[in-house]
Amino acid sequence: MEKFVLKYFNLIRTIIAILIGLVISVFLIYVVSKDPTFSLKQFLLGPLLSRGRFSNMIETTSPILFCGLAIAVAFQARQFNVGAEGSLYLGAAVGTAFAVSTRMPAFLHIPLVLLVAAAVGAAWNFIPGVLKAKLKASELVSSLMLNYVAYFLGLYLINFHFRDKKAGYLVSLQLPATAWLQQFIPNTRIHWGIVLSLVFAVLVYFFLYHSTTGYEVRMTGFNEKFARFGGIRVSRVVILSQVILGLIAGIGGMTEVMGIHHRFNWQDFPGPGYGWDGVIVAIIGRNHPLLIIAASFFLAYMRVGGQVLTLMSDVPAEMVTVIQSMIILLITAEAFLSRWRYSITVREAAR
Amino acid sequence: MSPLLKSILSPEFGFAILRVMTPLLFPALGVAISSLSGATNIGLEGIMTVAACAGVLVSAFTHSLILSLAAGLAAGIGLAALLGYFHLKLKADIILAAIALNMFAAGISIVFLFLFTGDKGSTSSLKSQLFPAVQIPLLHSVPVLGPILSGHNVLTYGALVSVFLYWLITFKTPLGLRIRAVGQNPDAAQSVGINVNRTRMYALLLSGFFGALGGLYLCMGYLSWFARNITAGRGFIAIAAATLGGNMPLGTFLSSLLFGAVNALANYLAPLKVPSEFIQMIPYLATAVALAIYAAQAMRKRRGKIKERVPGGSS
Amino acid sequence: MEDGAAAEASLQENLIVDRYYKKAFSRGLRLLWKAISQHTLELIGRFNILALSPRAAVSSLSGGNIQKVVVARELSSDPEVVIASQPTRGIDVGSEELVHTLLKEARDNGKAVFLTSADLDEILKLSNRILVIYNGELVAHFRDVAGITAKDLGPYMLGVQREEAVSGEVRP
Repeated sequence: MEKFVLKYFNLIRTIIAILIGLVISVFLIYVVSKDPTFSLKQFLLGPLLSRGRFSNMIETTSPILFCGLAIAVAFQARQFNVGAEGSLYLGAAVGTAFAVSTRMPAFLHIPLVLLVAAAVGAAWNFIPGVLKAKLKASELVSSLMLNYVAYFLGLYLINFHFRDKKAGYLVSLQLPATAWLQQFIPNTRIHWGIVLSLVFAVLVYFFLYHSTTGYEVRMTGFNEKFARFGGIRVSRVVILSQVILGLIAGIGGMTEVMGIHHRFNWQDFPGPGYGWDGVIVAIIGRNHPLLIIAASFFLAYMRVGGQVLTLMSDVPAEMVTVIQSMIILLITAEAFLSRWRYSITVREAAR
Repeated sequence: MSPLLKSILSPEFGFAILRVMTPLLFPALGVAISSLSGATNIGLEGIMTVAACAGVLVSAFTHSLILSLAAGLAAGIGLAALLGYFHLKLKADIILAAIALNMFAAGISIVFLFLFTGDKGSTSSLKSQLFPAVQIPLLHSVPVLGPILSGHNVLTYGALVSVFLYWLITFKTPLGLRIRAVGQNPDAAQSVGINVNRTRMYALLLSGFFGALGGLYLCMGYLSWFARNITAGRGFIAIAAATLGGNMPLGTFLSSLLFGAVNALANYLAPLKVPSEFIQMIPYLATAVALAIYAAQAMRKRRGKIKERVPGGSS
Repeated sequence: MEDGAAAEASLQENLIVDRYYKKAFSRGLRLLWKAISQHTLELIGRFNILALSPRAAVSSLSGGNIQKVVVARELSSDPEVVIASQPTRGIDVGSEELVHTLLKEARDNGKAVFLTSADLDEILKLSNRILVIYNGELVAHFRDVAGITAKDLGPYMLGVQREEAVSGEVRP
């Protein structure tokens, strides 16, 4: 039994962190709500109780998963680039502009639009990559700043050049139907982009763990000097890992536009926030693509739970943010439960 | 002279620079002191947020500036303490923990906002107070300098005093010496008996103090309300400001001043027919550019030092 | 050990950092883990590394074994020149013996082995020629080390004595 615990210690620790987070959420809901049992039920069971909400959970997973994968690739190289938000936003904006201005059959239109978004996203995060590789400038700060710049650039592009003047509010022109990702389950908005996100998860897994470049990324992340002395071109890895982040995030943003909204309608400052969700699930999933799938579902579950909560009860949805952040804190605390692991290790060694 | 140029060269612009600089200078000092100790606090965004929220809410319900100040400081320093606990005691990576705390701060402030006002967007429904502006008696009548330097919010003067305070703490107190020692060589510091973790915790608490003041000024001086995302990345811009300033008192002040000037300039560009989006992106773009230039300089300096050490050709 | 190994990576990941792109271990972009594991097992055997499996994290190994991993990787790449700097600092006696044997083996196979160390016993035991550096300058070159002891090296090491003209010719 204890051997099992040791082997899967990190996974068990993550699960315990999540459980503690949920316990705290129960406590908080009791404090905040006037009808805690009702609120709790809405939060924990809400996403499961209706077809609409359950499918909502699956739909929400997609952009989160894309961004989680994007961030994970950079984090695996120890590049603290948080620019998934910027690439997602600008990639989707430029992709929308392209989709709206071109006419071609769907089998060409869809991949080309995605390609444009991917290219823009990749190019956008090339900047922090090259600044880090050539000038040793913090990719954290530069990607943070560029997120904001991307927001304003994308907003300008859409609101000044691709605005739907016939709509009653600020939004882009609608994408031609040839650029839509089909929703294939009736009564839901589940679209092929969601399938694409799962495909990408598998691709990123193979990339990181079965390809030479992925190996370079991971070794650079483990120990940069070690990688360099081994012959790996570290500056290339630094740039490439961040470019890949931008590419995946760009696609993630575009699939959301193509599959759910069919317009670019992210007007609120500083953006839809999927990029930061990506950081959350990358941390929870310890940068492993397959774990990130689970983490993304979990986050989407909590998000939808939070929406149900805020709709049906008196607890604001931001409670979910509070709970998520506490879970991440516990997960990043390496020493959390370390004494437990230590005592088990000692007992196992004695056997 | 074009109207734009005229407005830039006016004392009003000088006044605006100091005003805009204040919510950047406070968190920059926070980042600086934590960096000096080797545990860079990138959670100033969250610290400012909780401090601002606490201050506004308390002031709306108690109408007491003192209590608001206390609440804001408690919230900001409390969040910094939490960061210290998770990073120093539980060994969480300080970057990841700070990111988590920034998210926590954003969430918890909205939760409290909702609890106390029923509004999830902003506190505009509340009548919260402002810290007062003060005219400095004699300075006030001095031509040119007077209008620039006098009449600021008390917290702006507080920010300027904080630069001095920061200098004092860092270079004239035993704590400051320990902070710098720990930042430069934690092992050596430990070997002479300095408690590295405790010193870093003090540095983090100080960064919470400065950041809290920044948040309080933002929503009770610069603006008069609290809203979601009100900090708009200032806590992150502060990181760049501190880096450019070498984490030193004067340097941090000057780089904050620079950013303040650029951001104030952005406000003056509105009458020109530049779309507001480009104006609003200026602070962030400027920060990224400044960061790049600084890094290029640092790299050149490093290369220069290496060339000095290795004799070219003959020994 | 700090720069020569990645503590959290596995044994096999550590061993292939200088050869992962070679045809034996990868086809295009794809890594051939079976071949890599096989190679790791060979190295574990040859260099007597104590580890649970090729997938075990290097951090689970003892200090001496981690050093063996680094030595195993470097020597198994069949280098023409080996530069060994403090190769046995901080490792246990058994592993130290093994490293010494391997260095001698490399020398006997015609490789050039350059050893720098603060351990005089180690130098005296292994070297064919000894050079002493003081204050950044070459101050002694012993071409014949038979019978040399630490006492002979001492004065040069302290800067008290220096050879008039020290030449660094490479003839054996």
